Amino acid sequence: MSTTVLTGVCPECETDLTTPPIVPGETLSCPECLLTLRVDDIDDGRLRLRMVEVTLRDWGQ
Amino acid sequence: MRHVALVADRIGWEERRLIAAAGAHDLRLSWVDDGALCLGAPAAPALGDFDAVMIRSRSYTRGGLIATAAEAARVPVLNTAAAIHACENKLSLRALLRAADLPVPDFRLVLSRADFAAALAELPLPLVLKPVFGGMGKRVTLLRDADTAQSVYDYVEDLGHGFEQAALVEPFLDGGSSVRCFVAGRQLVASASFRSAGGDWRSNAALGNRHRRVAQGPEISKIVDAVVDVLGEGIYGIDLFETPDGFVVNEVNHAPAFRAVADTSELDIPTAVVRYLQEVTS
Repeated sequence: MSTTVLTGVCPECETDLTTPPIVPGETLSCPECLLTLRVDDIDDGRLRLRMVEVTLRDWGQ
Repeated sequence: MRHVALVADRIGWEERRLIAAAGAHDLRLSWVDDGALCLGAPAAPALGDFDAVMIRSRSYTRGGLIATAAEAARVPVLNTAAAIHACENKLSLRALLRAADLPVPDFRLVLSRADFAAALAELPLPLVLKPVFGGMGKRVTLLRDADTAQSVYDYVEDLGHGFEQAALVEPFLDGGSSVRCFVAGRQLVASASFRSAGGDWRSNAALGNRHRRVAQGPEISKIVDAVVDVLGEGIYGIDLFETPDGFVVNEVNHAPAFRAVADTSELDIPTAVVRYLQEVTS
């Protein structure tokens, strides 16, 4: 049984990353530098990642 | 197939389930970054592909502003800008609900140390100090003793901006427990009681405290119905405190989390939300 794997590069520490299926808007933690990364786009199995804050200062409705 | 924008800064547990439920009910729900819309142009090109917008921003700044700009471009928005603006300001919400004869906790608006001293003199301890803008239990402070209260206010005065210093002082009700009611449209989908787990007096759902299912009795249904009458149909998390005189409305969340409530309910909350979205966009 094969599982689709997506790949990308941490924009901060340039570590190569692989993830199970994930959609734009979801976040993950870089295993190397531990920053929170958001998937901005997926193109042909390649993730475009952006570093985001763990929480924003004005979260809370 | 109708296409709805799910506007948020990221997809979390709730948004993942909403997107999955939409796919199973012939509705397309797509994430749109709430920090990359650049709204303002009359036709709102960033929202041109969508039949409606569902605001799930966790930010109390972005949600109401985006809803206002989207409505100005004639894009249907859930919740409405008016509802979001009311919910994101605890003073506005209480004023609206009180004007509609809905029970809310007694409170005093505190904009200065003089206000704070007057509130302490007028209301009996213990009291709760909470920011007018904000949520998830952040900076909500229990004041048990008058002699430490003034020191607590030193920290409020040190906050950088008057916007952040605006606060309410209110009686500490129901021993730190609350009832969260999840509403879609006019339907009370689920309700759960939250109680402090012991390490933190606050019972906020975002703080991970103990929760259990609550029967949806006529008193809860009546008060929820009355809140929806004031705010209009929408998707809400309505927080109630129980008092000896009945329930009072503490606050209403316009983009409510529902993970903890879902744990206590046999009802499928994401599907209830998606059905409401279908109704609104049909």
